Order: sequence, then structure tokens, then C-alpha cells
Amino acid sequence: MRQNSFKKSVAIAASLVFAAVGLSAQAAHAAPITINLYEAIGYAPDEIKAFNASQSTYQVVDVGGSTGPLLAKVAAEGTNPAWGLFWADGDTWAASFDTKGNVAPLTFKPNYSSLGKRLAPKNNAYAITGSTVMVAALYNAAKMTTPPATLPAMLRTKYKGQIGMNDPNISGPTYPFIAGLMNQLGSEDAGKNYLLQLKKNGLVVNDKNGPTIHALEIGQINMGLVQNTAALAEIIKFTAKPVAGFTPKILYPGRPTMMPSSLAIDSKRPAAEIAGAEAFVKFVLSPAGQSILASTDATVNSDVLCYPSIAGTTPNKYVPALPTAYQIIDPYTWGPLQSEVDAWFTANIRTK
Amino acid sequence: MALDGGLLVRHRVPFSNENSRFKRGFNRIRITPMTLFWTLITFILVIPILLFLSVAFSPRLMSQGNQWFTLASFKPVFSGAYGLALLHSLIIGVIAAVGAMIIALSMAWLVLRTNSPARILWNTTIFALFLAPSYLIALGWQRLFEQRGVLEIMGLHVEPIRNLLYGPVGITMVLMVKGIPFAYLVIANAMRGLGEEFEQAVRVHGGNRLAAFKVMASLLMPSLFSAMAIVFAEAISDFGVASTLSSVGHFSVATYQLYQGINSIPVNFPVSAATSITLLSLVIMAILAQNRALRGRSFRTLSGRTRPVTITKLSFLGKFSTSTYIVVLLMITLGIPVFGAISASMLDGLGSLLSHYTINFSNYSRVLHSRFLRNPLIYSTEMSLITATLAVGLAAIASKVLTSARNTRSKKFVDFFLLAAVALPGIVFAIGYIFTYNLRFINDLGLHIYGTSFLLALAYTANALPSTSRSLVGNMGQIQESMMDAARVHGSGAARAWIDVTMPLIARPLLIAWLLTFSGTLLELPVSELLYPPGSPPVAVGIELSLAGFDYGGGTAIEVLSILWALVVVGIAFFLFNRFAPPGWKRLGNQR
Repeated sequence: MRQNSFKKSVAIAASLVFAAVGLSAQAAHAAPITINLYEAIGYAPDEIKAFNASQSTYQVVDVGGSTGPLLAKVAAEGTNPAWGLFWADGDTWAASFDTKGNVAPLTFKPNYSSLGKRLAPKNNAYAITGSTVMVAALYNAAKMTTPPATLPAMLRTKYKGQIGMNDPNISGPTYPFIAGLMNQLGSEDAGKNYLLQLKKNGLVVNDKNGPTIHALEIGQINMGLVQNTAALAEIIKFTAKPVAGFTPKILYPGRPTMMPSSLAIDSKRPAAEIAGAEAFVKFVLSPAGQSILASTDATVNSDVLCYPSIAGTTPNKYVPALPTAYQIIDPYTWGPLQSEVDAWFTANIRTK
Repeated sequence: MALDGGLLVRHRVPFSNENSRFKRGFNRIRITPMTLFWTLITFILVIPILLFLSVAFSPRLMSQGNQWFTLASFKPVFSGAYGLALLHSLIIGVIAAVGAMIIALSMAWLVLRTNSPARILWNTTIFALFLAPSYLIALGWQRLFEQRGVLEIMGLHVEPIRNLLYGPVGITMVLMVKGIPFAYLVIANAMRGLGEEFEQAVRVHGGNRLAAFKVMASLLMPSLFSAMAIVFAEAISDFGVASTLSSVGHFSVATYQLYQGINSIPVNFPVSAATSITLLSLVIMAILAQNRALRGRSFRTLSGRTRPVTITKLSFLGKFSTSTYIVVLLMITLGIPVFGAISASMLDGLGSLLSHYTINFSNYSRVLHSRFLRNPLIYSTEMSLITATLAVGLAAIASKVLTSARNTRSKKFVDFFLLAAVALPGIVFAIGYIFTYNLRFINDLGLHIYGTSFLLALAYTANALPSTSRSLVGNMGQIQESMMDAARVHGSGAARAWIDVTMPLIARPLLIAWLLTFSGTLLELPVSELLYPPGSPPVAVGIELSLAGFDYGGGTAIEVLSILWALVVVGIAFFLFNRFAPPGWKRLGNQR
């Protein structure tokens, strides 16, 4: 009995000593301020690594994932958010955050390029880190010698059953394409009507970029409407290792939509964290941060195939020229319509 | 220090009645395994599920809207289109469950009770079957039957089959195939505990082989229903397979609406919760069916006198036909996902055998140094080891509750929440966890467990508990309680009696349940994606990130390597069990 209590006393004393040593060690080296970055951007880990190495006050921690689940995570966190920064393709989510007062506007003016200035929110609520095109029509030139170059041309009977697209309920970037379609055709109804006609002409709907591109590869379709980075990745792959009978090429029917990647700061974090988050945004938009776009191997990280938003940035060597005609849609107008449009797509295009 | 040796304290007159009542109440609270079990079930299963479902009625409760009470979120659920989707889910679930159970039962009988030569193939590959992700199963089927796919290149006319595959038939078939390994493990465990005496009794009384098989099947009822319940719940909560294979056939299922709510901007959790409630109504129907079938019957066949079974000697024709059956089934259940994996990760060219392709390991050598492989795999392995151990401990108790002779409230309660956890897609379950453990007042209490490995382990455990418990139900339902009573009468404590009496009878099923949980957790995605601690992604998230960056070959290569690693762990566990477990623990299911 006595032996037991002696052991207990020793154990307690030892724990206290260890705890005290731990605390004093902590006090001696003030820990950096930690900021969680929720991101769905392939090169974000490289930006984090470079930023953390560049200073010791802040520690950005990576929470990578797909955009949909990350947005669900933020919504579930509700009024007690754990994210400090959110970085993903698209800007409708960022506009939605802004409308709810969940983002801390930037206190500096980024040195945007002319494209960046057009994409950036007027109130500087979040940063634009680059943009991609929604959609690029990726087609097999070996089989489709005269591809449809306009939206009306895609409805011709000669292209019946040859065109495929993604489901906006599953593929996040597909909604900006549909919203852009509605925008350029003049109204939501006109866009819906166009999609119904496309469906009548044998439109093939797959989940997302991967299955749509595979359908193109095997000849199930001859043209896939996908995100331009996915299309470019396919062209890079088959330029390196050509396959007879499959020559992927890109064209842009109508006026494609430029879809920005947005980086937002959580307004509900303590001031010190917000300052750290802004330091990270500044770093990403700085020459050091922007150089990662050009230096990263695009064959394993296709997100660097975006069009830079900062003046003077050298894009990745695989990035082609911008489409000759393109449009930019207002996320504050089109964002709130997404649920209704997605539900309409399910009922009228996908499942009927 | 008591001068009377403690007597004085026990006989002291209480200062007041109130104090005495408080003390009595306090004394009644003892930390027993059951107390711990109910506490854990409440915190890891009941509260997260209820909080998520509550937003269907009260969005404001979880900061998901302005209304304290509304039924508006049920509006889409009451549309005709959704009703049809729910009916589709129900039909798919029932067919997949019954089909998987029948195939698994026949396989268990062939493997454990006959000398069919191919049975060894099944035994060595069963865990590989379990690990095959539905993504690879669906991918394999697609690659075979798609336009200009493998079968068309071989000159076969598969268009009619393809039309069936891209729709309800294909979805049901893939979900059934996915359910077979689990159903097999549950049924085979129970069959091992079923001695030969029952079949012999039928034969002695003039029954033929079919009559003996029927008796055996009816004695296995708890495990058959357990297997069906889990396959059914998995099938109705599926989204990936249905969305992949219904894209061409335009076939709707109930989870589509649920994901629509989660994927919309802003996220619409109330609609997803309302949809989840309808899925749970299907679970209630499954439980009612199970209770009706098992009511008032005893299945306790496992005792110290359970006799080893005699192997049925098959004729040449019997051996040939049963081996063909096993090989064909293996080609479907394992061959097709393996083909999917090869197509996605080793085939250079167009990802099919269309033209100009080479098979190489370049994706594998590349991902060996990927940041998505090493550390995430180590982290996932650690978490899976913890989860498997915790889940098996809880499952042993849960299965005991589930097999209790009386149809008590606690039994119904556990049954419902265990199946609910399966019927709700993983992402919904994880959101319930965030609702619960990220509440501000919990943080104010000093509990910051959201975003920690601790919470992830709890969520993994809760996620695994239904299948782990169900895998043990068959065996626990067979154990005759009189054996435990006898041990207690002879002076053993509860724990000692359990180790001496119950443990030898369920050691192998416990090991299989542990491996089942380990394997299932290693590649778990939805819970991992929402709950992993910042900076420590599990391997499933690494795979997802690879695929999201259009690196399909690399992502699939990481997936295949992780599966191989899980198989190594399974092999090591079986080796250790066979080498070091006491002989009595290995006796159950012996053949002569």
C-alpha cells in the first residue's frame, strides 16, 4: 500500500516537472500564430511552404480538399469558424461569403492585370489569384474535322449525340459555364431553352471533367465541354505521347466565361490572425508567390495552368493565349441562382 | 483511520434524508463497461445524428437559417420526382441486399462445408474484395462495357448489356457486388459457430441435403438479416456508384437530392437533413422487417460442445461446377475492379484497349515520392489501428445488446442508430460531428476537440461501429448464456468469465471484425475529408487531391498501393493469430 502511494507521488511529481519544463519551453519560444487555409487549389501547398519559410510570425496550415466538401465544412462550422483563409476556384462562393459578412476585405490594393481588375470585386472583399475558362470545347480533331464554332452550330443535327458536358450538381466549375450561357443568351430562360435543345440533340451528361474527357477518348462523344485546365492537361498528355486517331484540340464556342480563383479571409478570426492571413494573401500575389505558377510542373499539377491575375506575372509555359472573345459574369447576381438552376438541370437535363 | 474498522461509517445515521438520497444516487453511478458504452454511443452516434437531422425542422438551431421551426425544407422531398427517386433507392437497396446475402450464403457453404477445390482462392482473396473501392468496381465495369471498350474490341456485341449497365440494373449489380464480401464475412463467421449436429439431426430424420441446408439457413437467420441490413443501408446511402452509372441512363436515386443541398451555394443543409429523414424511414422499415422475421426465436447454438463439421465430399461434377461458380464470381468481384485499377493506373494511352497502349508502372514509381502517399498512409494506418481496436471493443458490447433475447427499448435504440449511421452518407455524418463538437459553448468549457485526431478517431469509430457490430451479431447470437452463468457460479468475475468462456468462442470473429474495421477505415473518404486535423491529411484525402488535379493515373496508383498495404497488415494479423493465439481460440470452425 505504502509502496503504491510512493509510486503515485513520484509519478505526480514527475508529471509536474515535465509540465513545468514544457510550459517554460513554450514561454521561451513564442509559438507562431496559426492560420488554417481551406484550399482546393493544387499549388496551394507550395505557396504555404514558401510563405512559412519566408517568415516566423505566422504558420499557415494546409487543409486541402475538394471545393464542395470544404464549403460544406465552412457552412457546418457556422458561427464558430475554424478557417482563416479559403481558396478555391470560382467566385460565387466568395460573393456569398461577402454577402453574409463573413469575409474581411483586403486592406491593400493588389497590382492586378487588366484581366485581374475586371474579375476582382469592386469592394476588394477577396483576392483574385488567377482564372480559368469555362468552358473549353475539347474535341477530337481526328474525327471531328469541322467542329461547331458557335453555340447555334452545336445544335445542328450533324453533331447529334457527339457533344458532352458535366453535371453542375457534381462539377463545381460547370455552374459558371451555365450561368455564362444564360448571361450571353440574354436571360435564364433563354439559357435553359438552349440546354433543352442541346439535350434534344443528344447531349451526353457525365459527372465531371474526368468522365467527360474519357468519353471523348473512347469516341463515345467527339466534343466535351470542360474546364480549360482539364482540356489543356489532356492536350499536354497526348502531345507528349501521341495516339493515332486521337488529336485533342480546343475551341471556344460563343463567349466563354472567365472563372476566377478566389482567396478570402475569414472576418470572424482575431485581429492578429486576420493580419497574418492578409500577409499570406500579399505573399501569394507577390512576385515570389506568383513565380510558383511558372515553376511548377503542370503535367502533375494542372491548377497552375491558370491565367495570372497580377500584372507582370509570367504564366506557365503551357498556358495558351486568352480566348479572343470572353465574358465575365457578376457572382453577386448569378451566385444566388445556383440552387434553382442546379435543381432545374437535375429535373430537366440529367434525369429526364 | 476508522477506529471501528469502517463499521461506524456504514452505520452512521444520515444527517438528512436529502443527503442520503443524493449519496445513494451518487453511489449508484458506477463506471461499468455498459455505462461507458452508453455514454460513448450517445456522444459519438446519437447526438451528432440528431443534431444534423434537427436542422430540417429548425435551421436556426445550428445557425443554418433564421427560422426556429419550419417545414419548408421538406417541400422538395414531397415532390413526385423525389418520391420516385426514393422508391428507386428502396428497390435497389432490397435487391442488392437479398442478392448479396444469397450469394454470400452459397459461398460460405461452399468454402466452409465442402471440398470444392477453388475454395482456397476465395479464402485468400476475401479481404482484397472488401478493400476494392466502389469507384474501381464501377470504373472496371465501365471500361469493359463502354463504347469501344474491351468487350467491343474483342468483337462482342454488348450494346444491350451496356444499356442495362447504365441504369438501375448496373447500379444494383455494382452495389450487390460491393456488399458480397461483407455479407460473406458475417455469414461465414456465424456458420463456423454452427456445429454439424443440426444437419445430422435432419438427415437422421429422413431429410435430404436441401432440407438440411434449409435448417442451417434458418439457424443463421440473425447473421443473414445482419448482412442484409448493412448491405441495404449501404446501398440506399450510395451516391458515387449511382451518379457514375446513372449519368447516361438518367436514373435518379434519393441521395442525389441530398448532395444537391450540400453542393449548392450557399449550402442548404435543411434540405439535405429532410432528405436524410426520408432515408431513415427506409431504415426503420428494414428494422421492422428484421424484427418480424426473428421475433420470439432462439438461435443460441454455440456452446462448449459444438461439434466440428464434416466436409461434404463433392463428386467430380460437383467440384467442377462449384469451382467454376467460385472462379466466375471472383472474376466479377475482384477481376473487374483490378481491371479498373490497371486501366486507370497502368495503361498508357487512352485508358482503354482502343489502340496504341502500353502497360507500365510509371505512375507507381512516380507516386512513391508523392506528398500524398507516405505520411498520409502512415497517419491513416495509425488512425485505423486505433479505430479498429476501439470499434471492436464497442461492437462486442453492441452486438451483445443486439442479440439480447428480449426486444428491449435499448436494443431497438442501438439497432436504429447503428443502421442510421450507415444509411446516412458519410459526409452527412461528418457534418453532424462538426455541428456537435464545434459548438461555441463546448469550446468555452475548454474542450477543443474539433480538428484533432481524437475527434477523427471517434468519428471513424462511430462510422465503423455498425458494420463491425453486425459482423459479430451472428456469433454473439449463437453463444449460450448458460456458459457465462456457469463460470460466474464457479467464482469467476465478469471480466475473467468473458475472457475464459466467450473469448475462445469469438476470437476469430473478433479478429475478422478488427481487420474489417482496419481495412474500411484506411481508405475512408467523406469523414476524413471533413474532420482531418489541419496539416495531417489521411491517405484517402491524398488520393482525392491527386484525382482533383487531373492526375488520374497517380491517384489510382496511390489507391492501389494503399490497398496492397492493407493486405500486408491483414496477412501479418492472421500470421500472428495463427502463431501466437492459444489453441482454444482457434478451435471454432474446425473441420474434420
